[in-house]
Amino acid sequence: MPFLTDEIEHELTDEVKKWLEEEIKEQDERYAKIVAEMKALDPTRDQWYEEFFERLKKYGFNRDGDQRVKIPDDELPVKPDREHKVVY
Amino acid sequence: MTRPHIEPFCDRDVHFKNMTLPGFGSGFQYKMLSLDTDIGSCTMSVQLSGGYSRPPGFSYSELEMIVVEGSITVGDKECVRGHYFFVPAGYAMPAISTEQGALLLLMYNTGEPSLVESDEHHPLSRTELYHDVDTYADIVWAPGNLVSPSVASGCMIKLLNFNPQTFAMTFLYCMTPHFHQDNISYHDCAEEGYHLWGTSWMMQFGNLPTGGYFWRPPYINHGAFASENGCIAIGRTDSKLFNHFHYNPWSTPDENEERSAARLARRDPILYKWCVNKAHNHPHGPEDFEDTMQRRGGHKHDH
Repeated sequence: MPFLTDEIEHELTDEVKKWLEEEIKEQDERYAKIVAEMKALDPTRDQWYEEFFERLKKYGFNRDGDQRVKIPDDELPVKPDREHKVVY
Repeated sequence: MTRPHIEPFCDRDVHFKNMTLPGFGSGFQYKMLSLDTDIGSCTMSVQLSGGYSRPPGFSYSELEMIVVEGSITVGDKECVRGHYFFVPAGYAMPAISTEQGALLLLMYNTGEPSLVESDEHHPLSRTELYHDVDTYADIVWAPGNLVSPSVASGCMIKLLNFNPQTFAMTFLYCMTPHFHQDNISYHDCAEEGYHLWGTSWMMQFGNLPTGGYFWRPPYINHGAFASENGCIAIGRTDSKLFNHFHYNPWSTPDENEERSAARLARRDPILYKWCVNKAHNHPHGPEDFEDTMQRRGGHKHDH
């Protein structure tokens, strides 16, 4: 999604195209590494989610700014039976 | 494909590379943070070596830049840590140099990095959009409740750039020590952030330290949020920022997007109905009569 503001059309040289290809390849590798690292964080994150739910019950959910609303236990979501991802 | 979801990433974990694209000269090293695979727009942290200099010139892409560490001399003006530049495409910047070296964040918004040596602006440049400011010295922190629903107290901003067409924003944000906010957020826009200093924590991704970075596509869950010792960062959105808050950590981007549409249908039902009924007739978006109406001068405004 571009910023849709301001650009000037120009031809890309072979040198620039090659540079872009190399950067895209490196970005693909970087992305794969992030996905793996975030997958490895799953058990810790599950614990963070539980602690989050406890805070919602005890102190409340930030609905707007500092306005907090306590969420009863039976209002909390149930973990769906599917793979959970945080990086898309 | 545009830019992939890069989150979290810390530029301190990788080495600088020499820039090989023409025009940038020696002493310009960079780390790529994210890159649009269609148009080559990108965000890079850049290390200029002590003694680096480049001649006056312009980029074919719109460019934003902030001095992270050190100082640079732009023309005859010294710009120190925190100095921000919004440079329209084709705008010829004066010569840039640094005596002791500098760390910069460069954001090429509409195309790949380019530098054409010139002391004249490109004829198509919208030069009136150029601005620069010392963000640390010349702007005060404002509460983060610029949008509603808003972030909690303790998250503050300094607005650096605002696009009235797209509502895209560039801003500094900070979290005070012991800031915390217990909700999950997503937006209808892409969002980007780079930690200039300090660490924040996010429930999905863990700690983001100094040099930490994210490019987050629309509808990605993020939060709860916290920062033990505080942090300062630069953030950007590519269109209007609206905070959709909730507390379901397992919702997917598709579900979040559908929820956004459901909320739009409740909030603006007539507009929503029009969009749904007529969208298929407007593959490039609906017509804005202010862009296309005949004007007395015989021209049209094509943004």
